[in-house]
Amino acid sequence: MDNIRPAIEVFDLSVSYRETEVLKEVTFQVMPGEIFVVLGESGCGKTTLLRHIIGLREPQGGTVFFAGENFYRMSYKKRERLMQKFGVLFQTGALLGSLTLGDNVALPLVENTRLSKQMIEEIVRLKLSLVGLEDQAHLYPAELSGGMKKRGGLARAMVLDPQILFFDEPSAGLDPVTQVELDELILNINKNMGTTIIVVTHELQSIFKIAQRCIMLDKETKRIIAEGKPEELRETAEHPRVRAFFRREKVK
Amino acid sequence: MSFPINEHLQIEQREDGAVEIELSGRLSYETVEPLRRELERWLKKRRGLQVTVHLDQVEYIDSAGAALLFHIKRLCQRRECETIRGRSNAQVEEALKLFDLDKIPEAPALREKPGNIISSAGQGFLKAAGEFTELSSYIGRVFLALLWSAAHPARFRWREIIYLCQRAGAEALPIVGLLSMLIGLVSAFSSAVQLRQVGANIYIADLIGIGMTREMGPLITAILLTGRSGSAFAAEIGTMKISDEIDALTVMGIDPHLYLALPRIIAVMLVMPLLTLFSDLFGIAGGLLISVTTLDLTPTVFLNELRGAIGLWDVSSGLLKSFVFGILVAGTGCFRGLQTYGGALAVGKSTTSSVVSGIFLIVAADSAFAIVFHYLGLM
Repeated sequence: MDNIRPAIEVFDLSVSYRETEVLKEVTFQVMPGEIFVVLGESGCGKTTLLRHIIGLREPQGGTVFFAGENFYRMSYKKRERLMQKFGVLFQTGALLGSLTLGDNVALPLVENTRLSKQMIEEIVRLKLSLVGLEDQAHLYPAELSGGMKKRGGLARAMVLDPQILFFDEPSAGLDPVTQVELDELILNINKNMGTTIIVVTHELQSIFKIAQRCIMLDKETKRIIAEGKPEELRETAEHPRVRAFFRREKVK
Repeated sequence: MSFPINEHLQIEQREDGAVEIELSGRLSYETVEPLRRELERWLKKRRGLQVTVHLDQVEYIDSAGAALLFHIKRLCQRRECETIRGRSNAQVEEALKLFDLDKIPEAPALREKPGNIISSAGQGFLKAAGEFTELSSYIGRVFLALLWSAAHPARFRWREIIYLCQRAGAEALPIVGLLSMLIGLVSAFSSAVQLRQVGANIYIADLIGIGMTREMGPLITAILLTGRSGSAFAAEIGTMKISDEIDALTVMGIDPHLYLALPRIIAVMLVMPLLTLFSDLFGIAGGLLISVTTLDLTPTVFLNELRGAIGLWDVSSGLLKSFVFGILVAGTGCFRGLQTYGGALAVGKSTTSSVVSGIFLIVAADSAFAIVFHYLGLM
C-alpha cells in the first residue's frame, strides 16, 4: 500500500469563518478505491471540510493534493478539468429546479462531452435505473420527494463515471430502507467501478456498513481525534468522546 | 460475409442470417459515438436477424459503453431482431454487473409528451378557472383579515406598517422624483415646439398641470412601485413559500394573509398617494423649467396660469386613483408570492407575473376610471 500514491491528500488544512476557527491542521490521506468516512458530531466542520476538498472555498492554511498535484496551486483550466472527474452529492440533491430530472442528469453530458442526443438519453436512462428513478425522468425536482431528489442528485453526480465521489450526509432525511439501499449502492459503485468514495456522515449504522477507514473530527479541539477502521475504534478507542460516539453513550 | 467497419467494430453475417457483432478496444465516453453511428447505419435496412454481441476483446468499458450495449439491444428490438450476449471477459462482466440491462424499461419518456390541442385547451381553461378561484379566495381572506384587524386594532402590527412604509415609500422617493421630473421635462419639451408654432406658449402650464396631476403622476408612481415593491413582495413571499415558511406560519395559527399580505397592502396604499403628490410636484417643476428656458415664460406667469388651470378635483382624482393603484400593486405582489409553488424557477415566475399583471391591472383600472369619470361628468 505504501508505494501507491494517495488519491486525495489533505495536508495541514486550517479553516476559519471570520474569527471562529472551524478546522485546525487537519491532515489525512485517502487511497484510490477506498471508501473513506469523515464523521463527527453535528457542527464539527464535516461539511466545511468537504467543501474545501472539492474546491468550493479556499482554505486559510494548508492545501489539498489530488494524485500528488496541489489543487490550490494549479491553473484554473486544469482545476476545472480535474473537477469534472469529481461527482458530488449535496445534502438535498441540489437538482436544478428549472430542468426535469432527466435533463438534470443529462446536463454534465450535454455540457462536457460531445455525445449525441441518442447516447445521452441512453446513459441517462441507465443511470436513472441504477437509482430506481427510470420512470420519473420527466418530472421536475419540485414534484419529487426528498429521497427521490437525493437519488436523482446521485445519478447526476455519477453520470460521467467520476473517479472520486463525495457524499454529504447521504442518509440524512431518508427512511431506514432507503438508507440501506443507498449504502448498498455506494458499496456497489465502489466495487464495480473502483470509484474512490468519501462520505460525510454521523449515521452509525451506515458507517459500520460502508466505511473501510474513517476519521473523526472533534468540535472542541477542531482537530482529528481518531483515525482507523470503525470496528477497531469502537473496541479500542481511548478518547472519551470517540468511545461515546461509537457506543452511543453520553460523554462522561 | 464479413464487414470490418473499423478497428473496434467487426460485423459478420452468416448464410443463415445470424449476425455476429464483435466490439474491441475501449468502450468509453470518448469512443462510443462513432461506433453507435456505424451500428445504426448498418442495422438500418436489416430486419428479423439473430444478433450476437461479442465483448471478449473489450479492454475497458464504462457507463457510456454500457449505454451503447443497451442501445444496440433496443435498435435490434425495433428492427425485430433478437439479441444474444456472446463471448465476454471477466473485466467486462465485472463492470456490467452494476447495471441490470434487462431491467431497464424499453423507452420511458425523458420528457412529458405534449397533449393534443383539445386537451391542452381544456387544461388551459381549468388553469384559468383555478386561478380565478384562488384569486377570489385570496381577496376574501385579505378582506377578512382587514375586518379582523379593524376589530382588534391593538393587535395589529403597526410597527411593521411603519417599516414597510419606509421601504416602499420613503426609499422610493428619489427615483419617483427624478423620473417624474424627467417625464415633465420631456413632455413639456416636445409640446413646446408645437405650442410655439401657434403662439400658445402660455398653455404649456395647463397641459403639464392637468396631464401630470390627472394621469401621469399616478401612473408613473404606480408603475414604478410595481417594479420596486410589488416584485419585491412577490419574491420575498415566494421564497418564504418554497422554503415552507408560510406553512410554518399557518400551523402556528397565524394567517399569512393577516401577517404578511395585509400590512404590505396597507403600507403601499398609504404611501402611494403621497408619492403621487411628489410626482405631480416634480413633473410640474420639470415643465416649469422648460417653459422658462425655451418658451420665454417667467415662473410667475407659469404659476398663475397653472393656478387657473388645475382645480382641487384634478389633484384629488389623481390621488384617488393612486390609492386604488396602491391596493392593486401590493395585492398582486402578495398574491403572486403566495401562489408560488416549486423551486427557484417558480420564484422567478411569480416575480415576473407580479410585475406583468400589476402593470396590466393598473392600466385597466386607469381606463375604468376614465370611463366612470366621463359618464359622471367629472372630466
